[in-house]
Amino acid sequence: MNKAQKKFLAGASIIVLAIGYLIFTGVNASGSYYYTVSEVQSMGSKAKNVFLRLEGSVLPGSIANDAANLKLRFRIVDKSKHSLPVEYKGIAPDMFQDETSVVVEGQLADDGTLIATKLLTSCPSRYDAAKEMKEAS
Amino acid sequence: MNEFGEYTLLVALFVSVYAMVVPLLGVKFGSEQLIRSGERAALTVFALHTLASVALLNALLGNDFTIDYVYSYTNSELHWIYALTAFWAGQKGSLLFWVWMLGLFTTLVIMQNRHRNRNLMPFVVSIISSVFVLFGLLMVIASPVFERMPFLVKDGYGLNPMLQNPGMIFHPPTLYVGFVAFTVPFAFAMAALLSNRLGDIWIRTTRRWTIFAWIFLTFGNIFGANWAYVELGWGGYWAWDPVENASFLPWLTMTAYLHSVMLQEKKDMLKVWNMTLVAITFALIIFGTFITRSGLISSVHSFGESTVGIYFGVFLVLVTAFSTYLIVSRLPLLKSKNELDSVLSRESTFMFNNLMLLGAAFAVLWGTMFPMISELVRGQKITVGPPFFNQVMIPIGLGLLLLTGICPLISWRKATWVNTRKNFITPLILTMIASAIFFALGANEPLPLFSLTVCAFVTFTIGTEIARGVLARSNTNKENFFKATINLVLRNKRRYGGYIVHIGVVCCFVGFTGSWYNTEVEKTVRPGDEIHIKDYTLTYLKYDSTQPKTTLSEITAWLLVEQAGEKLGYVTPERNTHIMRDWRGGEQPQPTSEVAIRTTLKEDLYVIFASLNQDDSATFKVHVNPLVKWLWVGAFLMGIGGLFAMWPDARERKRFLARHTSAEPGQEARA
Repeated sequence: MNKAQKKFLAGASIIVLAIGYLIFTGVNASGSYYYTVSEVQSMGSKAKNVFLRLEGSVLPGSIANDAANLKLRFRIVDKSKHSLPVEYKGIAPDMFQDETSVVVEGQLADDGTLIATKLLTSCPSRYDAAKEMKEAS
Repeated sequence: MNEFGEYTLLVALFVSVYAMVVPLLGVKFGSEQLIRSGERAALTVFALHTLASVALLNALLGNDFTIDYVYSYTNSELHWIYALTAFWAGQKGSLLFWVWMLGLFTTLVIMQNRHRNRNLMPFVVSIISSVFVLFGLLMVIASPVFERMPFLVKDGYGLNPMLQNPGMIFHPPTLYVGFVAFTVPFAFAMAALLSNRLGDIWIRTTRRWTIFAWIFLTFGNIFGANWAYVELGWGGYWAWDPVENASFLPWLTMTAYLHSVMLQEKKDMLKVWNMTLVAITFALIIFGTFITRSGLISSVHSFGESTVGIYFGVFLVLVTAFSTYLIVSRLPLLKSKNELDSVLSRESTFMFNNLMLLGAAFAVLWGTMFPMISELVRGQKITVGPPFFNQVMIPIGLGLLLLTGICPLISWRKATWVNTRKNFITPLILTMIASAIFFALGANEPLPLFSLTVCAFVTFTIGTEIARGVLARSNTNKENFFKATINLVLRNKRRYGGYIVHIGVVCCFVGFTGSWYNTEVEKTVRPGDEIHIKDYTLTYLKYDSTQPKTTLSEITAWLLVEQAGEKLGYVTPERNTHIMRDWRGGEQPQPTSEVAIRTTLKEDLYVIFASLNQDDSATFKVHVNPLVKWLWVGAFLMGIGGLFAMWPDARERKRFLARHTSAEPGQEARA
C-alpha cells in the first residue's frame, strides 16, 4: 500500500466512523416501539415515557371529531378486541373512517389516552374480488 | 381473449427457458448457430409478451369485466387514459409491463450487437432470459393477470382515485424503465466475468444504458415525489417510507457507479469495485421489489401481500450468490493496473464520493430494515422515522454536495497545493459574497445558510471551470465567447453533461433547504373568515358541490388570496368522493382531497380542504413551502444533463476505436 492509499484510508475511516455515529445516535433519538394495544395495557406504567407505535383499526362509532379545535378522538382496536383511546391534534387523513386500519405514534398521557403525534391510514389491503367471490359462492 | 393471453404467456415461459439454456450450450459446443437460435428465442419472447400486452390493453379499454384484473382496476366510467394506465396500476399488470420493457431493451441489445461483442452475447442473452423465466413463472403461477372472474358482473370496481392523477401516468413506468434498463449493464458485467473478458469493452458497451437507466430512475423518483406532493395532500414530497427508500437505494449505488466507472475507463482503477457496484445495484433493484411486494416491511403504500415476494426473495439470493461467486473467482483477473497516486487528486474525490454514496445507501437500508434488525437482535420491533433519516442524510448530502464543488478544482492524478489554492480563490470569494446575500435575504440559521452557501460554491466552481475553458478556447481559436462556449460544450458532451447534472443537483438542494422554513396553519372557518399565514391572507368565500359522474361528487371551496394587501386571485381546493362499486352492488365511498397549489420560484402556497363540517364551517390546512419548485427544476436539469452526456459523440467514438484496436487485444489475450 502506498502513502496516498494510506492517507485515503485514514480519510475514509473518518467518514465511515462519522456515518456510523450518525446512524447509531439517530436510532436512539428517533426509534419508536411497535406494540399491540393489549401489550400496552398489560405493561402498566412501563408504557409511559416510551415512544409507542400502535397498529390497529378504528373502533366503529368511536370517532369524535372536534373540528373547531382541530381535535380528533377515537379508539384504536387490535385483533384481540382490546381498545385504547387516542387523541390526535390535527386533521384526519382522507381515508380515515370506521374500521380503517391505522398506525398511530405517540406517548401515553396519565389518563391512559395515547396522545398521537402521527396518524397514518394504510390503504385497505388490495381489493381481491375473485377471492371474495370464491369464498361467497 | 383471456385464453389467448394465458396461453401466450405460457408459451413465452417455455421459450424463455430455451433462450436461457441454449446460448450456453452454444458456447459449450462452439456453435454460433445455437447462440443465434437463443437470440431468436429471446426476440420471440418479446413478440409473445407484446401479444399478451395487446390482449390485456384490449381487455382494459374494452371493459372486459370477465377478467378479474380489469374488474379490479377499471370501470365503465373511467377515462380511457386511466384505463390504459391500469396496465401498470396493479401488481399483475405491472409484472407484464416490466417484462415487456425488458423484452424491448433485449431486442435493442441483440440488434446493436449482431456483429459486435459476439463473445459476450450468449451470456448476456442467457442472463436476461433468466429474468424472463422469473417473471414468466410469476405470471403463469403466482400472479396470473388473465385470471377470470368466477361469475359475470355488470361493471368494474374502479381505479383507486389516488391513482387517477397525471403523476401516476408517468411515475410507475419511468421507475420501471430505470429498473429494467439496468438489467442490461448487469448482464454485460456478469457476461464479462463469465467469459473472462474483463477489459473495458463491457463498460463502454453499457455506458449509455447505465445513464439511460439512471435518468429514468431519477425521474421515476421525482415523479413519485411530485405525485405525493400534489395528490396525497400532506404538504410534503418525501416521507422516507420504505417504498420510497426501495427506489432511492439503487439510485444511490447507480450514481456511485456512474462516477467510479470513469476511473476505470480513464485510469484502469477500481475494477473489482465497479463489478461489485453493478451487482449491488441490480441486487437492490430486486431487493426493493422484494420488500415492497412481500409485506415484509409495513408501509403506507400497500401493494397487498402476496406470494410474489417469495419469488423475488429467492431470485435475490440467487443473484447475490451468483455475482459474489463470479467476482471472487475472477479476483486475480480483475487486478487494476493503476493505484491512487495522491490524496490531493480528482481520483480521490471520486473515491470519497463513492464512499459517501455507499454510506448513504447503507444508512437508508439500515433505517428501512431497522424494524427487522431490532427484532432479530433485541427481540423488540423498533421503527425509525424521518428524524433518523434527516439526521443521517443531511450531513452526508451536504458532504457530497461539497465534494461536487471541490472536484473540478483539483486536477487528475496529482495536484499541487499551490495550484489547488489558486483554483479555489475566485469561487471562494464569490461564495462568500453570495453567502452574505443569503444571510441578508433571511437565511439566518446555521444549517440552511451553510447549505445554500455550499450550493453557491458548487455553482461558482462549475462556472469558473467553464469560463476558463471558454477563455482558453476563444484565445487559441479566435472564436467569440458564444461560439467558444457552444464548441467547448459540444466537444466534450460527457463532461459538460455531467456539469449540467451537477447544477441540477444544486437546484434540488436549494429546494431541500427551503423545507427548513416550511410553515403551516390549520383553521376552521365560516364564509367571510380569514386565515393568515406569513404575509398571505386567505378569505374563505363559499363552496360549490357538483356531481360530474355517477361515481364522483366534488365539493369545491373558494378562497381569495391576498399577499401584503395585494389581490393575487382565487384558490379552489376540492374534497371529492369517489364511489367504488363492488360486485354485490355495495358502494364504498372513498374521499380524496385535491389540494390547490399556487407556485412560484420563491415559495408554494399549498391549501388543503380538510373537511366540510356539519355546522357548515370548513376546515383548511394551509402550508407555505419555500423553494419547492427548485426541486422540480433541478430534477429536470439532471435529466437534460444526463441526456446530453449520453448523446452519441463521433469524437468519443473515434477515441474509443483508437484505444480499442490498440489496447484491447492485449487485454483479451491475457484473459
